Amino acid sequence: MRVLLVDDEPLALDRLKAGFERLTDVVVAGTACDGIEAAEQIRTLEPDLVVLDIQMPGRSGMDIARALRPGENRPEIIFVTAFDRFATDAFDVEAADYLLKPVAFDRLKLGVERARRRRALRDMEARTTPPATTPAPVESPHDQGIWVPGRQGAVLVPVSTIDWIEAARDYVLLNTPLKSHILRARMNDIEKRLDPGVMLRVHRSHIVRIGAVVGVERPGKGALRVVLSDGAVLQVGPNYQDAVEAALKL
Amino acid sequence: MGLKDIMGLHHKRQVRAATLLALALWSVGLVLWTMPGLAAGSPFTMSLAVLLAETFVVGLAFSALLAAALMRVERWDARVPLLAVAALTLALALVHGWFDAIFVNQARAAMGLAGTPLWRQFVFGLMPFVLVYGLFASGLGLVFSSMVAQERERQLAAAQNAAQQAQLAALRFQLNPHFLFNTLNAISSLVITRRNDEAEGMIGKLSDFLRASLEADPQREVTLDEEFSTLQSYLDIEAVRFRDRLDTEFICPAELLDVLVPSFILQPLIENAVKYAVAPSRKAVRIIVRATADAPSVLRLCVEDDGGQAFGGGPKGGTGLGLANVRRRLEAFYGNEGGLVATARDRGFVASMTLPLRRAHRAEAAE
Repeated sequence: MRVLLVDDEPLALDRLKAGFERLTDVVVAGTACDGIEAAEQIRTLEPDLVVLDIQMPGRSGMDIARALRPGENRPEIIFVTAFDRFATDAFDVEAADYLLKPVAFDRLKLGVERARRRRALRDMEARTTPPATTPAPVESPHDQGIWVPGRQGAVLVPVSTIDWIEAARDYVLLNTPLKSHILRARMNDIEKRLDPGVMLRVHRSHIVRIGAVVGVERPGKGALRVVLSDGAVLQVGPNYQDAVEAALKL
Repeated sequence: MGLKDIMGLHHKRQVRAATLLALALWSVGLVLWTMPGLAAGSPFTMSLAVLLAETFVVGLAFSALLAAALMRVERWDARVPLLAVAALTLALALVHGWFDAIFVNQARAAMGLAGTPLWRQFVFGLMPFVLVYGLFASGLGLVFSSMVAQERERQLAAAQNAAQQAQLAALRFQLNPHFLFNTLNAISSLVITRRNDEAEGMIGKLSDFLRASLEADPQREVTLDEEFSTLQSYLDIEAVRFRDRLDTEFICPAELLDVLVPSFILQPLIENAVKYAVAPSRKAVRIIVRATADAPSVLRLCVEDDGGQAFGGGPKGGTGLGLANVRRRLEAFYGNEGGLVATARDRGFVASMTLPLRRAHRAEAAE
C-alpha cells in the first residue's frame, strides 16, 4: 500500500515516518507539510492511503478530505491530530480512522489494517456486485442494529458487523472491520440495548462482540486481555473479569 | 442570591429577633410586677390591668425605637456607636419610668388611694425599667453582632471560592491541551528518531513552562523580566515545532525590566499570534513583543505579528476568548487605568495594552 504522510510540523512528520517503517507491506510514497502541497501530492502520487493532520497552513485536512471525489482512485484517509473535537466530522467524510497525537504505533497499525480491508473490499465491489442481503427479522428484546447519523440521513449498523465499541468522551465509536461509526450515546445505554449473549462489556469504555474475540492474553498479575479479529488488544477491567471469563468459558 | 436579597434577609432576621426579645422581656417583666401583689392577696382590678397594658404598649414602642437604633450600628467593635446606644437605652428607661410614675399616680387616684409626689414615685419605680431596657439592648446587640460575624464569614468564603474559580480558569487557559499534546508528540518523535539530546532539551523547556504555569498565581504581579522569560520558554517549544516558520523578537528598554505586570498577562496574546498567524502560514512569521513607557506612569505592552490573513487552514474567529480574558484581568487589577486594544493591519495583527507603570521595589516599600 502506498502512503502519503501530511503534517505541517517536521517532527510530527518524522514520527509518522518512523511509525510506518515498522509496518510491513506499506511504502511511504511521499510527504507534504501543508494543505496545498498535500492536495497536489494526492493528485500526482495517487496514494492508497493519506495520513492527514487537520490544522495546517493553506488548506485544512478536513477540507482536503471533503474535496476528494468518490471513485476507484479515492485514497483512504486516516486523520492524525491533537484535537479531539473533529471526530464526528472525520467519520462524516468516510475516514478509515481518527487518531489522536501522540499516536501509539499499535493503534496506527490497526488503522492501517482497517484502511487495507476497506481498500480490498472496494476492489472486490468494483468487480462483482454483492447480492442485496436483508437480515432476517429476529424476535428479540435486544436491538439487532444501531442507527447512526451520517452525511445523508442515517444508516443502520447491524450488531453482527460491530467488532467492538469504544467510549470517547460523550460519544461511542462502533468499530466495524471497515469503518468506525460515531454517535452521541452513553456506554451504559448502549450496553442495555444489546444482547449480552452477543455483545460483552469488558471494560468501562469497551464492549466487544463475543464472535470477534480470537484470543485472550494473560500478561501476569491476574490481568486479562482480549484479542479481536481486527488485531485490537483490549484490557479487561477488574470489575468485568469474572463476567468475561464466564462468557468466554475460560 | 443578589446583594439586595441578602440584605433584605438580614434585615428580616434582625426584626424577628428584636420582636421576639421585646415580647419575651416585657411579658416576663409584667408577670414579675404583678406576682408579688397577687400573692399578697390584692385583687386584680381594672385599674391594674390598664396600668399593665400601658406599660406593655409603651415598653414595646420604646423597644422598637431602641431596636431601630441598634440596627443602624454597623461595627460592633467601635466605641462611639456603643456609647450612643447605651445613652439611648438609659434615656428611654428614664422617660418610660417618668410615664410610668404618671400612670401609677392616675391609677391610684382612680382607686381613691392617696397620691405620692411624682418625683418620688419616679425614683421608686425606675430600677425595673433600667434593667429591662439594659437587658434588651445588650441581648439584641449580642444577637446582631453574631449575625454580622456570620455574614462576614459567609462573604469571606464566597470571595475565596471566586478567587479559586478564577485561578482554575486561568490555569485551564494557560495549559492549552493542543499545545501540550503537540509538544508531547514532538518529544516522542525525537525519542523515536534517537535524537536524545534534543528530546532532553525539549523536556526541559516543557518543564520550565509547566512549572511557571502551575506556580503562577493569577492574583499576583511579576516583573516584566519574569513574564518575558516564561514567554521565552513557551516560544522556545513552539520554535522546535514550527522550525523556521516562527521568528520572535523582544524589544524592551532595560529600565522597564523591573516593572510589575499581572502574571501570564501576555501569554494569551502570544498564543493567539501562534495560533492565528504562525500555524496557518506557509511562510515565516515574525512575532514582536514590545514594552514602552507612554508616559512616566503608563506602560504599554504590544504583541504584533506580520502573518497574513488565514486562508482556510486555521481556525476562524475565536480570538475573542483570549482577548476577553486579558481584558477582564486588566480591569480586575487596574480598573479604568488598564486597557487592551486589538487591531488587524494589512499584514498581521497588533494587540496593545496599557497599564499603570509601577516598579517592583516601590511596591514592596509600600507594603
